[in-house]
Amino acid sequence: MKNLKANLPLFLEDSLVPYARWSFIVHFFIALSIIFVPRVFDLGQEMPKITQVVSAIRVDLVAMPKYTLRELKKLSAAASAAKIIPTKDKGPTYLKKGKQKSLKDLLRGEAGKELSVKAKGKTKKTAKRNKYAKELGGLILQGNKISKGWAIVGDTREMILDEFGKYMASLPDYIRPNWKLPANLMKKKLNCRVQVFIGSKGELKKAKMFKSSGNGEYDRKAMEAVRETSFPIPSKNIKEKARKGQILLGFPL
Amino acid sequence: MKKILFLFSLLIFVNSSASQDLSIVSVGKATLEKDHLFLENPYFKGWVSKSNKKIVENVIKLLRSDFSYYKNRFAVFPKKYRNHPSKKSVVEDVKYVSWQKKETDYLVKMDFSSSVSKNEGLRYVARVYSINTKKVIRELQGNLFKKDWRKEGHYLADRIFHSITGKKSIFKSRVIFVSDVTSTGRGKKRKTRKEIYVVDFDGANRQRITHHGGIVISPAISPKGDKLVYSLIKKGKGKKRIELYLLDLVTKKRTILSRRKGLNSGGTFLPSGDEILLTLSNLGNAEIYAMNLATKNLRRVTHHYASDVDPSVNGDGSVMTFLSGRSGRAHIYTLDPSGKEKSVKRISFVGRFNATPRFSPDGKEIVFSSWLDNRFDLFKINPDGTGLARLTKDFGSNESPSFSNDGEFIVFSSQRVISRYRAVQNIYLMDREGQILGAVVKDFGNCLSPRWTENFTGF
Repeated sequence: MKNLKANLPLFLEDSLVPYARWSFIVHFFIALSIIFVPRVFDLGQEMPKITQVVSAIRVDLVAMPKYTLRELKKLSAAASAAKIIPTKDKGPTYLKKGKQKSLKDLLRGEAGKELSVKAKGKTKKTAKRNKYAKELGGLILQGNKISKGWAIVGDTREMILDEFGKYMASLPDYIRPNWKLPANLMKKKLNCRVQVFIGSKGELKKAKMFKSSGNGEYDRKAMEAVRETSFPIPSKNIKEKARKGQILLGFPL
Repeated sequence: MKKILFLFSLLIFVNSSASQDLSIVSVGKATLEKDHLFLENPYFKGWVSKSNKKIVENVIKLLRSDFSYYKNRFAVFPKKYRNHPSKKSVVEDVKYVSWQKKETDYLVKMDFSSSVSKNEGLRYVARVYSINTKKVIRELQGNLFKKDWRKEGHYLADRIFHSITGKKSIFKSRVIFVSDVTSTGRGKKRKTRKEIYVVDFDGANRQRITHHGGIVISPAISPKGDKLVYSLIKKGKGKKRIELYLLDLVTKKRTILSRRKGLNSGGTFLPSGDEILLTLSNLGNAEIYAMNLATKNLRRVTHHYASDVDPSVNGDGSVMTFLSGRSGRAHIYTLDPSGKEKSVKRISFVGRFNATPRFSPDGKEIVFSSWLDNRFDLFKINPDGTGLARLTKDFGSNESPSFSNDGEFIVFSSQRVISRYRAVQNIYLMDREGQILGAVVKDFGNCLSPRWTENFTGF
């Protein structure tokens, strides 16, 4: 500051220093407020931007349904109960570089090796596929082709979902079995929204009533449904969003 | 100081603008939580004869049986009925706190006493308590007679149901159906006879309605339950004739509505009860008409070169569903029955052969049978063609569905093949989701064409 003063013409020195001082103070307080004020005051914050995730399904009806309604419900409950653990993508397997060989050698031996490596790769893939097929309990239904999304019911509008969207679209299947209301509340058209904070192992860290229905019992039933749910484990790419509570659950919306 | 205050308010404004983006997903509709209903054993006030106590025991069992149909709505306690009377009258105070600890939502207590006059039967007073709100929600009184204790029992169950839910139950409903139990002979000497019968929704109290000694098919009952429409197949000299009849259940008077050439069948009442929809084929192929019962004037509803049959209307009569071959196969369509070929819409696009579409009372669903895997099974679909779902599977060949008055149940006929030459057909009841609850009519010849009725007069 002293050097600055020394180098500046006299008329500037007098006019700039107070502004510099105030600029520093203002910026300091802005930084403090961003950190501390939200925790102390609740002063009618602007509503955050809320994006609705719609489970993306396209159902092409080509034949009469094979499964009855009750069978479909059992399959759906079984699929929700089995936690789907995302596997790490190991990437493509490459052939190891060997010594440089002539074309003849390649045709004799290398071609055979290539085939055997590819065959191994194929059996690994089919083993994984079989494992998923068992876990999902044969959800692919004759006559109802599932082309996108995770749920078997939902909006039929097409929507391209990213990884976080797909995770969110899967949540209703886990929560719905626990979402129950007595008859007197079913009649009333109420809705509430719960904000959830999910840990890296799928554990519920915190659940907060984001928007109340105005009926204490309705809100309590929604919170109960959330607390009784075992959430799926979020993948590495989205666990931060799940931890920060960017997930809102609408009961019903 | 002013500058500091200005800074502070600026900082709050800046901070309040900061927010986090959120994503929301709909969990959807909740499932209904069952109410716990406790039906306490009866209290006998004064002396009650042994035979009357037996009637009371039967009524209590009937109440438990009736509420068990609504298993998705109520859990009935005690789980096992033990025949020992209660020591507490309805006039005594109820310990709500202790019932709340047992997680009871509703309690029903009943007092029974002998009437002074023999003609009045047994008197009863029943109270329905809401444990959560700690108050009596309804007090019911009535008389029980030996000859019709079932009717009174169902009536009491219906009033208890209504006091809790505010809605009508199925407990007073009846089912009309066709049976060939009066047929005689076997093989080539067999003389098939089909008549119309009526039975309580739980299979009791079966009564015969028609006595033609012929083949009666396609019954339909008016909304008030006072008129019955059906077709009678008459065998003339080498020719068969199908005539449409109207039976007044109160006066027992029978009228021929139509005996035109060809089909005169598939009658169904419009909500007013003054008009019916029927299928006629006197002009060539089968078409659907509306007929005024008083004047017998006809108004054409369908007009297509393909056959149009099997009409059914929704609760207010604004939409009619029917079966038509206009696409080349038997598929389900809807239209507005107030005009001719008005707002026709095809709603089924799959299925080799679809049949007997029937509207739910609320008009939100259509249940129908479809040929699949060498038998008929029951399916349901929304009137806009969405939501196709299967209801029955591996349960014989299922046809002729009919919704209950509250839309929560479906009655249907189901055929099982016993041997190469013999098959049996019974009437079954299932809920709206396809869970089979049991047989309504069994081992009574071949039973088909069940029709649910909330009101039934004349018997």
